[in-house]
Amino acid sequence: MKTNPSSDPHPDLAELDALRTGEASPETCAHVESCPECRAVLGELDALAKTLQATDRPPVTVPKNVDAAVQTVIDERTREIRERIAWVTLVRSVFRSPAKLTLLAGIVVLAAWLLIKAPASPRLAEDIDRSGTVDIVDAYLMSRRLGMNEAPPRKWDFNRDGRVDERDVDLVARKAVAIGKEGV
Amino acid sequence: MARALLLTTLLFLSLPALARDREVSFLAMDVWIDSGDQPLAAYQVEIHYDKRTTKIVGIEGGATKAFNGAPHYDAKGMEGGRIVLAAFTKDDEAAPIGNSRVGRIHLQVEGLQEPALSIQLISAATTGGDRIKPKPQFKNSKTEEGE
Repeated sequence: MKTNPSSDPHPDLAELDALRTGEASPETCAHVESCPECRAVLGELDALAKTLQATDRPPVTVPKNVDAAVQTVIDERTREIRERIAWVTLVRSVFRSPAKLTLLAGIVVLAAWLLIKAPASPRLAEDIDRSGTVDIVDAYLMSRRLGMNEAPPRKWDFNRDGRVDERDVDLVARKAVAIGKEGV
Repeated sequence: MARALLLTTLLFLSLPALARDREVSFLAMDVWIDSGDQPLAAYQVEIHYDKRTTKIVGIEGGATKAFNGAPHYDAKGMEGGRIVLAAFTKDDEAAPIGNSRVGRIHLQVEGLQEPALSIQLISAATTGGDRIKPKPQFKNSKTEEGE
């Protein structure tokens, strides 16, 4: 029989509850029979157990569709976490490997250099209406814009003379009809 | 001696035929564009011809006020078998509606056969810049003298 650590001769609540369910030691049984205090506590435990049993309800059954929906959310969330972990793992592996880090830096520098040095395509610049080709309609649209009061875009200065005027329109028209490399 | 005489006779007899084959003629072809009920503000056409027998020797504008000036073209296209003509007008009021003569090309053709010409639209726009797809065609200028 276990007793309270403070030299208390009475069994603790667990021992008394074990007695209630018929699992207590013979010493505990003998003590309770001769101890009115412990019998009183045992009576309270018994009453409490009956009260709890009275409020006990059957287990709730989760509908299958709810269960499936919850499982789907869990699966999606799990996949997101796994993808994030994969990215983090990749980035960490790059930063931990000098060779990979050097390669990455090289790619970034090369891409930046290409962006800075690569000349803008003049054909695209002269394709005023973004039709995919430079034709007389582009020259016409430029000429119309020049006839309006609003200032034309500076990027239309195709002959690089510092201003946008009919000579730039003429340049686009000539390109539209050119035969050969630059031509249609 | 008799053989030489025979060859000389044959040569003289064949000269008119050779001369006919090398005969050069000139003709003018008009470029017409039918924009329907839309006012034609800009056009660009591509013309193909047989460069072995045909040369373009002149290009001029059309009959309408909007396009009576010579269109844009590349001089390299005068003999290369392909040329692009293009023009636009800034005068909205003058933009022609319907079938209009927008240009004329003058051709030098060797031989007696009719020149093989084809024309196709590259682009066109109505006043305001909206793209349209009118139908271009050639007409012999002789048949259009009364226009």
